Amino acid sequence: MTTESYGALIIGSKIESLKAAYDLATIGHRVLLIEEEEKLQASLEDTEILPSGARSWYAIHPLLMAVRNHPLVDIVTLSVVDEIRHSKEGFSAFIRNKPYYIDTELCCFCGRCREICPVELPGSLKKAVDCISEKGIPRTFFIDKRKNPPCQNACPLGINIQGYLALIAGGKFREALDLIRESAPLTGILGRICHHPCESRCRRNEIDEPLAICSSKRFVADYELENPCHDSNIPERKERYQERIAIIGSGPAGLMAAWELTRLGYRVTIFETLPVVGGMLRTVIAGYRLPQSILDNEINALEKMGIEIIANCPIDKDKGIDSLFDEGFRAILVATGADVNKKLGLSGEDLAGVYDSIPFLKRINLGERPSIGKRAVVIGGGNAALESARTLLRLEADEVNILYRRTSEEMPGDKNELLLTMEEGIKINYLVTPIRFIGKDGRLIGVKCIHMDLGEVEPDGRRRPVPKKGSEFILDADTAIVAIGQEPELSFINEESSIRISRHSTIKTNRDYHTEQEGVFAAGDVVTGSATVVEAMGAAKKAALSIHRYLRGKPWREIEDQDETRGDYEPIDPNTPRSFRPLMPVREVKERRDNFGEVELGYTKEQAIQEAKRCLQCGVCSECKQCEIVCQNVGAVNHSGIKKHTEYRFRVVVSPRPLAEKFVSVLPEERIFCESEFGEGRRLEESLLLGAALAGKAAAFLTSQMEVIPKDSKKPSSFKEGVKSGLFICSCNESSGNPEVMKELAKFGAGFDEVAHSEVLPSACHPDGARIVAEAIEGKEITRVVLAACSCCTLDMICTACNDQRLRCKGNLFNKQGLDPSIFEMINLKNFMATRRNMDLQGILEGGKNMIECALSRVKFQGKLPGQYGALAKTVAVIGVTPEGLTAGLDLEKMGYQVYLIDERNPLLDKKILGEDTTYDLIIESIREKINSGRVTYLPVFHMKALKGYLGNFKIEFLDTDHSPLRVSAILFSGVELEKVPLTGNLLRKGFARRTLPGFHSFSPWSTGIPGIFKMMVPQENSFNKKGLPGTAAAAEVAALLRKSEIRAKNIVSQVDQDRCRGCGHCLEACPFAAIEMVGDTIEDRKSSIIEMHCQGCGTCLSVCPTGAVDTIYKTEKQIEELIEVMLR
Amino acid sequence: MSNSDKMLTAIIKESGIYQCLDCGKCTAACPIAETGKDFSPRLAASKVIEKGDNDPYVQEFIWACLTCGRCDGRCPSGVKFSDFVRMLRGRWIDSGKSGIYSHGGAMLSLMRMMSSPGIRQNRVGFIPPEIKTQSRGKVLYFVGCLPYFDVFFKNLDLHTVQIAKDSLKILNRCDIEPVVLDNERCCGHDLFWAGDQKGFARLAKESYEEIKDHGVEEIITSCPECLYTFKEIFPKVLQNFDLRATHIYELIDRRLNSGNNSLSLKPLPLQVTFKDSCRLSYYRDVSQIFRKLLGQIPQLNIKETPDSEIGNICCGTSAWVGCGEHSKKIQIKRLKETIATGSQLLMTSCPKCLIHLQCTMNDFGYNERLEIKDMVSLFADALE
Amino acid sequence: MKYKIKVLAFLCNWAPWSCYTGMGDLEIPIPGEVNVIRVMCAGRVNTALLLKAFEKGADGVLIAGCRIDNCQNGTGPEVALKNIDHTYEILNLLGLKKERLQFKYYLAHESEKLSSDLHEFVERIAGLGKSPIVGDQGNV
Repeated sequence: MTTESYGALIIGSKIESLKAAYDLATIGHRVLLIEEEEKLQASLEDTEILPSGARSWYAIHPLLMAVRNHPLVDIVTLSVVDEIRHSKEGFSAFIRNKPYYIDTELCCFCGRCREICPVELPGSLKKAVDCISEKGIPRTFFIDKRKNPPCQNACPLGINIQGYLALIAGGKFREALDLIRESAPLTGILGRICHHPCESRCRRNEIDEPLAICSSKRFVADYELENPCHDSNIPERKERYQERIAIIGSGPAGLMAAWELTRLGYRVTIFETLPVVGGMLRTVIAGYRLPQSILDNEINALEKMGIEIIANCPIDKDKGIDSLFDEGFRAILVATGADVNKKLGLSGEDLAGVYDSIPFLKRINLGERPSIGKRAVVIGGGNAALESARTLLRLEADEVNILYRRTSEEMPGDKNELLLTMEEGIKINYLVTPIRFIGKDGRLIGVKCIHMDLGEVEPDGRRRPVPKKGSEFILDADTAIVAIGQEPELSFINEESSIRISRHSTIKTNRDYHTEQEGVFAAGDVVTGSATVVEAMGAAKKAALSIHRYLRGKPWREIEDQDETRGDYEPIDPNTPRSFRPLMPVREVKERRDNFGEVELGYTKEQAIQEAKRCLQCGVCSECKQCEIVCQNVGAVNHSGIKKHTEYRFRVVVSPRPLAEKFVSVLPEERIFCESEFGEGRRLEESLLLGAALAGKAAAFLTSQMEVIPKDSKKPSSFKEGVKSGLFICSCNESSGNPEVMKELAKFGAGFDEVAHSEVLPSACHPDGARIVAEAIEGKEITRVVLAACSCCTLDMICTACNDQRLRCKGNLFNKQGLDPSIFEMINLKNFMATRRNMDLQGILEGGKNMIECALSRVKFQGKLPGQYGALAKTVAVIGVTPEGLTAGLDLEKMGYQVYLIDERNPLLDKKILGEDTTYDLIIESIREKINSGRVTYLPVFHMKALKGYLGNFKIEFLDTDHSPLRVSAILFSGVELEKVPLTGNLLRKGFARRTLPGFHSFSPWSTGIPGIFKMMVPQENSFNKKGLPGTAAAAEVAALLRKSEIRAKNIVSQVDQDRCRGCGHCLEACPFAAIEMVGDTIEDRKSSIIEMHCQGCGTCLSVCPTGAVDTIYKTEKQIEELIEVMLR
Repeated sequence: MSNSDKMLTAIIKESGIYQCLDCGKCTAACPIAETGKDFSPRLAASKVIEKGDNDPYVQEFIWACLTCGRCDGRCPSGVKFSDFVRMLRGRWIDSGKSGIYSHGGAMLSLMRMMSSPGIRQNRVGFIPPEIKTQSRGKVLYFVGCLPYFDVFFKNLDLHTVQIAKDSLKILNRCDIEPVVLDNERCCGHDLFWAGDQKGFARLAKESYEEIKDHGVEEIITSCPECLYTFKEIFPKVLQNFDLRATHIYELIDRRLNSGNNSLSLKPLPLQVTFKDSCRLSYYRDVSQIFRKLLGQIPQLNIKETPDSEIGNICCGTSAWVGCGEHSKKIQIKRLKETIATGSQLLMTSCPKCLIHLQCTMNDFGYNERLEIKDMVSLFADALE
Repeated sequence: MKYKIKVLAFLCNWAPWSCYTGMGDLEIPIPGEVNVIRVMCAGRVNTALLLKAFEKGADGVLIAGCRIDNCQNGTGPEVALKNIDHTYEILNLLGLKKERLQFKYYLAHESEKLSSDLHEFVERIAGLGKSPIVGDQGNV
């Protein structure tokens, strides 16, 4: 990618920066504006009251918009300059910018993302997606993303927990389920038997009790069962790759991997030894924890998804792994788990009545009900042990004792399960271990046990239990179940296989789950030894991904490291009210002891919501993606916004001094233009002056390499006479009005004879919106367009009411698509809808129809708007040779202007006139040089006789001199009493009084009532008068206006119908801009004509013209009459 | 043949266009053509016959014509061009298009508003206390637009209501205490000529009823257009129209001849020039009366300009239609001629002439000055 | 059915229009009786347009301009006031209540003011009732 190259790099976006950016760009230099915050800073909050009474922000706003909209200005917000480098092309700035997660160039500000966002930040109205500011630039939303929440980090499957909790809290249960299913299947199972490491990491632990994450997950799964709708749990299967993959073992790991690979687009077959599917889920975990129906349902879903599961198909010594390759599988995942019990190695372990837990549980779960004894002992402290004990209880055992050699602290079994177990009357004997099984006639009659003490700490961090001398005792028992852990069964791997096996008899793999044998992968308990369901699934998920990479020949890589631009969690508010999770409803002990019905009944809707609301929303944005969904028509939301480092080339820097520091080391001083702090306690006038001054200096430096204004992409005007209209209604992503009403309006519009096309656009300010319009115009040869969006006009001017979207909309249509504004009529339907919310739909519809009808009938009378101006002579007169005047003259000369210095006295000879201030000696010196070298013309002791003309063509005549009249494009008065200036011709009777306040809309305090005539502004008591800034500022101002007038296609002016004009001259009197000239020599054929350069299209002339000869091109008299007519019809 | 075409043929017939002999007298007579505009009634007429009225030349023609009737007067075969233009304007408007009006059509708006039955104007505020009027009676003094003019043309500093005041003074001197309607509705002359048939019909009806409601039998007016409208147009659009319309000059003339000396005239040592009005030049007799009356004012010296009596030229625009370059040329010509006569005073007989010529003198860069006065006022001045 | 009055509001493109769009941003409701017409400057609304509005049956007309010292064009409000005074006298002759026509100044941020003014104006006009002038009498 090529590096963008700019004239000036402007740091910050205070008023000074903006003014500098605007003037520089207008003069013709590419500008890059860098702002650290998410919006331009020109103080929206600023409510300084200007002399004109306006809030200063409203004076600045057009400046903001103008900068935002200027073809030569690029703005990057949320960005900082990392470093500056000197390259052979010049200087490079390396910019780092944070993502908004919303495309500021697409966002139509409909606000639906915020509306739907479930994350409400406690103690404020703010949401995770929130609007930067109603009037800010860019006018858009911003997603507040922090580090991933601890719960999600803790989840081996990386499930977006905060996300689904937020959705549950908002009652969006299905969405919550869908979100879970983006990371893993088997929700109903995990929701029951997951050991939820997430909960122990929940930050709620710091105040009261962690969220019931697991149970919440169960709730949404159950909710779907109770309210079945679409097969949302069956992602549509897109088979992308033909490689087939075999998975051995249908346990949690196998199923997880199969699901992941199928989603990736592979065909997967699972081989299961047993007649039943589910591995441990089916054989070990008992029905009172996980009902078979739930399991069946989940597995069912996987099969519907297209996963092939072949039961009763052991992969063993005879049918070895390799045979699968022969069958055409390209990769194999071994997920056979660990289901061989470890042995105690005690005497009597082979007695009848002593069982291994796994085979035992398997028999029961497969439906056998073997007769066992009354007094049972279970050895072990894991879930298998608890499982066995509770199962025994549900058979005919009266008394069940669990023996565990450590204390409850160390017990690996699930705490909740333990409680339920004890609740059911099972006795847990801590610090007790068996030393021998006592038998009689080969049958177990008791277990000899010994009490233990905890000794020194072992490598695994747990204290080693040591037998207590002489504490032996005998426990009567006719049934004993050994549940002290399992290890994998690996007999199916034959000796010559290259798969390597550890001494814990687990399969060895590399970090990529790849075994030593090419194409064979392994994951889950078979690799780790017996662990938890979710851990096994987590591993399987990763394994699946590396199988994908393996088959696609991608190298192994770390998972995308987290975007470090994300901030830390919100600190927990100390006065967060304490609250605890709802009690899980369970069946009474007496009702559950003798059967395998499920014990826990799951949360009710109310409980689930109440619980979810406790979430602290650590990550702020929960990435539930709801905003992405509501924005899909616009596509502005993008959660995977990755931080960017970008290089930009530039030649000079304009910046507040503090920020300029990092440049001074690299950049030569003459390329840095900075001045104290920006925007600090300065009056608007002064800020503008400073900004302009910096621009002026920079421009004087850059002049040598002036940029060319980019070619206007406009096609030759498509303005035609006949009326064939197109109506486009912007629904603003279905936010601006009731979608039905919008459709109705489009239908209504289509009803008019001249309307050839009528449609509702998702968003008119979106590039696609503009494209659709352009294509329709092209395709149906439309000659007039009504766009009912939020733009108010087709003009290229910027007024206080304008905003980002309105400007962008026009930009896309008129610049990017190159359509002709003349054929457009724009109405602000969005605003209409917004201000009619109080009305009933019928009323709104009627109003809307009227508005559309008005626009359609108005657009018929649309005339061709005028085009562009040519170049102006680069000549400027500085009248009044004050120190500031001299500075201005010098700078203008540097910017390539022919400068005339005119004064009634001879200041350059008479030192007294210029004052003793030595700071100007230098300027006076260089001015003298320029004068001698003929690049500046000095006209001392010249008295003006007459001044007339207009911007680009002023004529100055002089008294008592034979010097020919002077023609200049602009005039700058410095230290001259304007009242005394002898205005004539079109300027006659025109004062300078108008629009001289730095007021409303006008961010050029230098302007007088007459475009092209400026007055020097010298703030009293201002430090930078000394530095000659006022002069430079004025120079920049003059240069900017002249350049602007050359390139700007002004399309709002008045026109005079020569035939109807009687030359009465009333308009001449009325025009506030000296934009009217009387032409014609004799009284009979005298007419008024418009000076387009001056005309602002205000239409004041219309209200005095007796004949109706004068009319504004935009919003003509006829159009307004038409409007009135239709409105009152 | 489409309906619209039928209508057009009807118009052509009614205005006698088929009789046109292409002699060109009309163009020779036309004040607009005289200002140098490419403007030929007979050409427009033949174009309409060939191409219908959508031809650009025709369109420009019908909104530039003054309907002053000068050509009608000269036409050997009695073609009624001004009626022709008026009816074409009607067609134009009925087709939903809008014409070319001066002052943004405000005057015509006013007239249409006056045709609303519910409206209750209060327009007699100008009548000074010494003037005697009554609320019911056989004789009505019809003021016309004057009060509105004075407001609308404030910038010209006109006092056209003076015409009304003077007329009333004269009437009182003739022992007539006329009815003056506070809610007098416009005669609609301008709507009629601007082509708004419907608007005019509505207004005429309301106006007539307003008058009848006050027991009036005779309308006296000082405005040629009102007179013309009541005499010529009302009877055409209102079958039951039964009012006599008299110009105040006729009344004065009768009185003077009746030897009644309530109107004794004092000398006015002035040289004046007289400006006829288009509508009255239809009534040779009346325009004769002016001069006769003026002749009776002692020491008053009348200097005519070329364009007098039948030769009269319009004041540049009528019915608030199409003012512009050519209107101005006509007006300036008129002023020049008058000034050339050396008269101190230009006497108009129609308030619109007064307004338009006054307006011209306000135009940018026009420096000559000339006093303009309505003849009624002059006459009132002459009364002892 | 009760007669629904019709009000026209001419809004200058500058401060008043900014107030109006501001109303949209803040979702401040506007009375349903009001029809809004945007013009480039209050001074552009000439007597003819005002009369046209009443001729066509408007029961009230409000012109919103900028505060004099804030006028984009300098003279807008002054010219507007001149036109309006002028129109008042004509309305007076016509026997139309002066209250049916009103001029108001705004600064760009005064959305609430515009809203309350519009509501107040609509109420006032409702009080005056229907204009005696019958609207839509055919041709322009």
